[in-house]
Amino acid sequence: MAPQPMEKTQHSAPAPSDDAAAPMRPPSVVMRLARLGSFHQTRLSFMRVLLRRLEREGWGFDRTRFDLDPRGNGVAVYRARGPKRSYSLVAFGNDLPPEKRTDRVIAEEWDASFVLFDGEPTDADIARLHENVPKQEAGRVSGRELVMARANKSVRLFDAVAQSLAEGRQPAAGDLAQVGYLMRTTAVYGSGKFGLADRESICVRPEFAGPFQAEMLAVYLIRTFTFDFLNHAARSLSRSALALDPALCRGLGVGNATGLGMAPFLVSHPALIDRWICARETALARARAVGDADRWPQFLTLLARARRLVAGWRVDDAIQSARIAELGRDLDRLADQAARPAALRPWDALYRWGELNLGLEGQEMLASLLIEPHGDLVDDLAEAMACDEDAEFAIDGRMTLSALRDALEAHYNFALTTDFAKPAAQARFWYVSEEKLEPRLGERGEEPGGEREQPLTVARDAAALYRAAAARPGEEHVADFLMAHPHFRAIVRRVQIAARHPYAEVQDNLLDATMRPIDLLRGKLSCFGATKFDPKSDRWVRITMFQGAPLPEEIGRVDADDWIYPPLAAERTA
Amino acid sequence: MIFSLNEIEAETRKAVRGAGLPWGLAEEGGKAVRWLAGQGIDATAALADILDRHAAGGLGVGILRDGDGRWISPQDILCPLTLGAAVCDHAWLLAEGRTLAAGEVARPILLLPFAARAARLSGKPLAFVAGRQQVNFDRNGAPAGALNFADIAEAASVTCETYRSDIRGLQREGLERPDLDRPSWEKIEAFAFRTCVPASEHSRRHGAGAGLLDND
Repeated sequence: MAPQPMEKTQHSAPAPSDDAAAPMRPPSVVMRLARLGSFHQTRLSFMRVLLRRLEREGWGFDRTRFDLDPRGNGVAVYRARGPKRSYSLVAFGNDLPPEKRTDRVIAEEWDASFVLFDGEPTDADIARLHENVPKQEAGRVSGRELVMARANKSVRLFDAVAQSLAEGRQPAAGDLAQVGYLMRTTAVYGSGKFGLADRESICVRPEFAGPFQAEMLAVYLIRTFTFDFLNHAARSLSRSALALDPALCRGLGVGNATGLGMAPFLVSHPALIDRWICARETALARARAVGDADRWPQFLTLLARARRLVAGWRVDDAIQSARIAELGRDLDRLADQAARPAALRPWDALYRWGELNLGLEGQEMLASLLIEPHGDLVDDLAEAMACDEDAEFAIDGRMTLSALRDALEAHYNFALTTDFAKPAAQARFWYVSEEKLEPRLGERGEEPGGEREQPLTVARDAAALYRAAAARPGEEHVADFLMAHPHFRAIVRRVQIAARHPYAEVQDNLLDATMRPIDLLRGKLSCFGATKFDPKSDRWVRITMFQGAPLPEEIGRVDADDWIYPPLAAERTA
Repeated sequence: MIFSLNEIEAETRKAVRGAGLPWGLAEEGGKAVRWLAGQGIDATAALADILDRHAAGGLGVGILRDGDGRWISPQDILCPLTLGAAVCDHAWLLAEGRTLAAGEVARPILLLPFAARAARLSGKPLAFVAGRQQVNFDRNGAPAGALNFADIAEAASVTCETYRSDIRGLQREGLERPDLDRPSWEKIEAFAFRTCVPASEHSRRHGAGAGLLDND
């Protein structure tokens, strides 16, 4: 399959003549699957937001329990102490038979399982959790638990590194960099799943007001567990085993394997997604509006470091390999172009050059890099990324059908111009399998289940709504229309949300034969702060989280905001 | 059985869909049962009942106006999710002083969340009357006083209109986790399961994109 075609088009409106913020990129450009699937992390990504808070508020970390037997069975507890509250990661190690190890939703056992506990667990809490957490979805947790997760060892790396340490040798940094993690999570649950605390009960706390902050904190603590689990395995092999060097630990993150389960999130939370994307686009617009080149040297250094990051990004997937190679070439040309900043509006000028000359991966990496040196201008936007979705739920029944049609034309043009009579336009259907409720993607007509499809049929529904509304008087109220056409209720709600939240809707048909679910996954994961996207198929991807981030004991001693891009060669240790 | 509010909403939404209602009303059903649970009220029996009746053909999503402008069912009796949606969609009429009236409705307890929302949307306090029971809500949608509403099978009539004085409701967190009735919950789960597709070898191998074993 050919690599993604490059979109080299000038999307930006002409530059304003004064110092006003640069125009924001429109949703018709930003919310395309191909571009969402090319997003990179930014300083507004949730992991970055978390680490800035941990540093700013002086969070302290310690391990309050570590009781694992030589085979790895047992419990460990890691405590995070904030200015007002403490949280504890309770980790259960397991001696997992290799034939049972799988990342699929249909797994029943894992190398390790976790909860993030609200406070400090008693022995009774730990006993209760021990009965339930290793079972994951088959167990129950309570409102005192905030996050639940599980992780498996990297088969490539874990045992090899343990062996090396047992033999008295640190592993080679290069070997670790190939994988980037010792363990990878295969699900990280929050928001009330399986009995966990509902988001509403914790989002009043400043540390959890932002999206996914509890999940990110849990993963950050899991990272420490992976080092301890490894060191423990090494010591079980030999009492004189070394502990993994902290500098090597820092170069490792937590892996994650994500499949179709995550894809519907971008569709089921339109107002929330709008907040994330709007914050990101606002940040880009602010960076582009900066009139001087005072921070150009910083930018050039970041660009050089980004080129190192890309050079170390190796995947097996042919499509992504080609994209990475192209990204590398694009960054070379970007470096040439950026050598001297333009005299007027240099940041905007560079972005516009990028629109015309770089592929999508390059454009989006440039966007991330333009934002990066401007923390003082954009970091406040992190506080605008949460959303009270309940407040967005009500339908405005008073809206007229002519206003509804206007909204459809303004925000769903991609749907209105699709010919759904063509089989390719409805080639896929999203469904949930009876088998452990695993989300799957089917080929319509080739396999059963299409009539039970999940509500990702937005484009088709929007087109049908437009036709039905056009057949009614324009002054009719939506309220009366819906009484006669109850099956349009969901799409009417979406259209009204999109009218208030321009970045709410993915501007592509999710049923199309050429749709790549991985674009949805990467869009969301980039907002988390993931790096090293490693596709295993068009609907399954591995990533790394917190790779390069300071270790908990380093918070406050090293910069907690400068870990995404590897240091330049001269600064590199070992 | 104790569940999070998120679980209650998600399972209920799937169940309403599984009973054959459109996704838009399924969303409403999920939010309604969730709101009631957050107020400490277990509405699973009410919901399971209306889903049974939908599945048996005794309830539908149709809604009409009769000669007096009251909402009625084209069949026998109104579905509360359908009526509740219509009330909220017409909330602007409440602010204009109009009364929203309906005929017979099943399981009126499920209308309470919609009445609360209609109050909030209209920006005015609201008097909700179903049969012989009345609940008042303040302009923010908070119930005035304790939420005591008997879960009766049917109400002969329903009205919503702006309440005559500006009351202040009880501001609750709305985060309770009531102990839900097991048989009703299991019925809801059974309806929810209808939204799943039976597994097959083909589906297991190809549907998720990770092969049978994903390992590194």
